[in-house]
Amino acid sequence: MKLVIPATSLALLACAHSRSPITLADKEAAARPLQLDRGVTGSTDGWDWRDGWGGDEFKFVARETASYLFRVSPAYKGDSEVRHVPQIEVYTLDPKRGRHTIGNTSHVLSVPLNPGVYYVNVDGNRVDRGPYQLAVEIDTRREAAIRPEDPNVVEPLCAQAPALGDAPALGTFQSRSGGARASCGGTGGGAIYIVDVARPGRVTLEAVAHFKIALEIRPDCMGRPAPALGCTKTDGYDVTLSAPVGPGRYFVVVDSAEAGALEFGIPDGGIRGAFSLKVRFDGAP
Amino acid sequence: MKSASATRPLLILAACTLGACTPKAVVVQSWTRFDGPRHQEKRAQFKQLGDAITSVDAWHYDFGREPSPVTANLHAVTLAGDKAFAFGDGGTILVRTHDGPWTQAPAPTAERLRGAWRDVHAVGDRGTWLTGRDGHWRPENTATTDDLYAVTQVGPRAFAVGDHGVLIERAADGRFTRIETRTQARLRSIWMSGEPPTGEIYLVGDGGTIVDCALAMSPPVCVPRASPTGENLMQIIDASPTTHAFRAAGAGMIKVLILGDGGSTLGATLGRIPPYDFRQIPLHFPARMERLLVSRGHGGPEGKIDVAGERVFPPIVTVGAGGRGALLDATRVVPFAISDVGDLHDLAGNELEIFAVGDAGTLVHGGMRDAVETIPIMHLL
Repeated sequence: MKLVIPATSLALLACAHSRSPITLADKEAAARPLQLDRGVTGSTDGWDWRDGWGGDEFKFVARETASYLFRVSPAYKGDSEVRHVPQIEVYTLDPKRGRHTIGNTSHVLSVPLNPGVYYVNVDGNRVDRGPYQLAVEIDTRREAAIRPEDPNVVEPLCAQAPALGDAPALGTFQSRSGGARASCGGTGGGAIYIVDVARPGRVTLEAVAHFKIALEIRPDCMGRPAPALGCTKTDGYDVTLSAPVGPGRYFVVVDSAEAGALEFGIPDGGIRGAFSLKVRFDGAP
Repeated sequence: MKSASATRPLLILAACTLGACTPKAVVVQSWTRFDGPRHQEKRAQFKQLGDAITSVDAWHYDFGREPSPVTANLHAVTLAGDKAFAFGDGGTILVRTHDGPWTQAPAPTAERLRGAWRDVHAVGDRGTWLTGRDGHWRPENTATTDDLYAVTQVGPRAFAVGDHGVLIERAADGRFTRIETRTQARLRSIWMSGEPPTGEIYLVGDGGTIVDCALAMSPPVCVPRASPTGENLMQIIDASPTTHAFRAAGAGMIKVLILGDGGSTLGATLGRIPPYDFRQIPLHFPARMERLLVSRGHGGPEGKIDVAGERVFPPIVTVGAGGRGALLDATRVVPFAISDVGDLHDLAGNELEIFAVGDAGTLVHGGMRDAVETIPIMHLL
């Protein structure tokens, strides 16, 4: 009997679903675009659990390193009765690692993402199904791993910032929510240095790190919305930034250009690594 | 050990010169005995060789100079299986089987050999790199002329360091690559932190140089680290096997230890996440030490062994210039000096016995009388 029931079930399934199972590649090829700050709607109707990869697929392109907030909820019908609980899974496709799940939720999901292509699968459970709405935005909430600079975090860093001298500054960067953040894109962290300039000239900063580095020089540490004198980031592990300067005090922010895995007990953007930063000043002729 | 009659000398000098003193015991082999259902014993057995130099009574620790087939200066010693290997000037390679004696092996180079990893890699002057297989050594072309001081294997890759901040990687297929270390200092030692292939290697060298190289990148990315000393850093080692001994000595739970040539020791605390920030660890070693050896017993979580009926940590041993050295356990540092052996340059061994090598072909063997390792069956399972 134990053999008969599964065999019968399989035979019935084969009759009911004679078409080829839907594959992951099928779903990704048919993925609809999901754009920042623009909601989408859909439905989880379907016998997806027998068809292979079920649910709707969306493709999302993250343009900058930031925390992104995905929201999914049922779309209410006319009688306002909620009949199902849609769920989402955010994942990437890595040539080496294959499908890699970043997170999933049936409500809201905040995840730090690097620039790149991500997929969102929306599906109900195996019984419930119905309409849903989905949206993504940059997460600026206090609990976001990556968020704009927070004065409560950055001002103490400004007050304690060491001056760059002849010897390279050898430090440890750790990403930090609300920390000092390069305006050209970064996780934010706790690395700020001072450069004092006595006469007009050009400041050149060179840094190497165990993470993809972003570097910024700014005229004010925090508080005044002045544009950065220079900001650069790299896809490699060393970077050079050069900017013309007049006499005065400047602030250098070392930041991570990419978010890391939220593992190993490192909070926030999940990046921790060594860096070396040195400065050179060339006076104007 | 630590018995009522044991002396506690601060400095024990050799009481006799080579060949002129009463024969003393040295550890020459160990064996395993099953003793009932709960324990097995790995017992050090002693044999009289007749050329012991001195004894550190506080540990029942005996040093004996072994007959050497060469007079060349020896710079490196390493253990592999049941053999010991020593390397030195003029391409000297010596081999000692478990029962001895030391014999000279054919060497394919006349360059000075300064560092070795087991019986697989040996490096030396002018970029010399030998790979060993089945007891035969073959030279390889590193494409560098800098002197190499140390080599280590990390997974399928091997790394060597040396003068002018050189770091050479040997890939699994035998290709050599020079990696930018961002220092020009002489690098003397390598330590692997974490698990390959994504861990980090730390390099140490002259002028307090510490460099952290991340292996997750290709090629590895090296970043210098802040150093609390300007001393020449001779060696960096994994201290976690004896972290309980360091804790008992008041040094805290130490993950990694760096030996400076001025008597400083630097360390990083166990449990921290890399990259490590190194701080001074006051172990009060003598100055001009070149090598440090830590080891642990396997008889319990703390890594103790039995010596003369008492459970103790295997001593941490350091050796260096003038045949001087020190033994450290949870209670004290006991300096010692072995006369007429010149400078000692390297040290290898385990919790029961050590080998040290040095100038003029010096080969020293050390071990503890009545040292026993009791291994509960639970730890064997």
